[in-house]
Amino acid sequence: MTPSAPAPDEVGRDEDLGRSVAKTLWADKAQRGVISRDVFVDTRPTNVLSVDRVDHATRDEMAQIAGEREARREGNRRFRGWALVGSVSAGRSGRTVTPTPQPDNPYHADIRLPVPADAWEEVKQEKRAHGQELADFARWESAPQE
Amino acid sequence: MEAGHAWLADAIAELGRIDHYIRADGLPDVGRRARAETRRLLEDLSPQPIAPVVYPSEGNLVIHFKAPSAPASLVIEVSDDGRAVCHAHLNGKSRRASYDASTDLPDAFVLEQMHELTNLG
Repeated sequence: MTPSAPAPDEVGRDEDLGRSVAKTLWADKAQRGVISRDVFVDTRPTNVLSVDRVDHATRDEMAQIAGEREARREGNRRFRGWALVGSVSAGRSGRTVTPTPQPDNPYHADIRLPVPADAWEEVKQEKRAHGQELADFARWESAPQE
Repeated sequence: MEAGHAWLADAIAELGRIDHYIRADGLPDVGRRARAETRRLLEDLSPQPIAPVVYPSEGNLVIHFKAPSAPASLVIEVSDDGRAVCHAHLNGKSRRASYDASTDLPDAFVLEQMHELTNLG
């Protein structure tokens, strides 16, 4: 597969950002029309959410990147699809979006939440509120092979 | 989505399937108290026209009402220790109420948020 062009250094206002989903639960609920809040909640002590800048490569290329990423995780998980959120919605309520290309994913970006980076218990309700808001703005797109 | 009480049977069936997802995805188990309280809440909220989805979340249970055509929702999270939290995201604003006893739900806050959510369409 020929790689697509590099993604721009800034995230555009009309970009879609994809939060990849591997859990059966989340994929099943999304296919019923509800993106689970937890798709956009990371319970680890971090204030960033990893997303894919899906508009800068073919869907097959993005799905290959996402599939390989999920397969490397514990449990050899299968990529099921993306919860897609527009960059403007992602950047509401004090959140910011920054391109953070990775060696294995040049289309990687971070949604940074306005909460401390080193906590979970103290900020879990704030993180859940951001997750719910992002989920409300998101729409589901199944993986090409689904 | 169906209106009124019509969704209750589906929601209770969905609650009965949570163990499938807990096993499939390796999620933390959900205790009996949270399950029983979630079922009671579903029954109490069944006159509401929006059908919820029910799912496990970090050992708790979530009842998630999403507005059909607006970026808005109401999430009630029931813990096995008897507590509950309600998150509302409506008209671009987030509101939250915490409860030491989930048996206090649904209260005026929840019903008011549900009313607003329903009126958003």
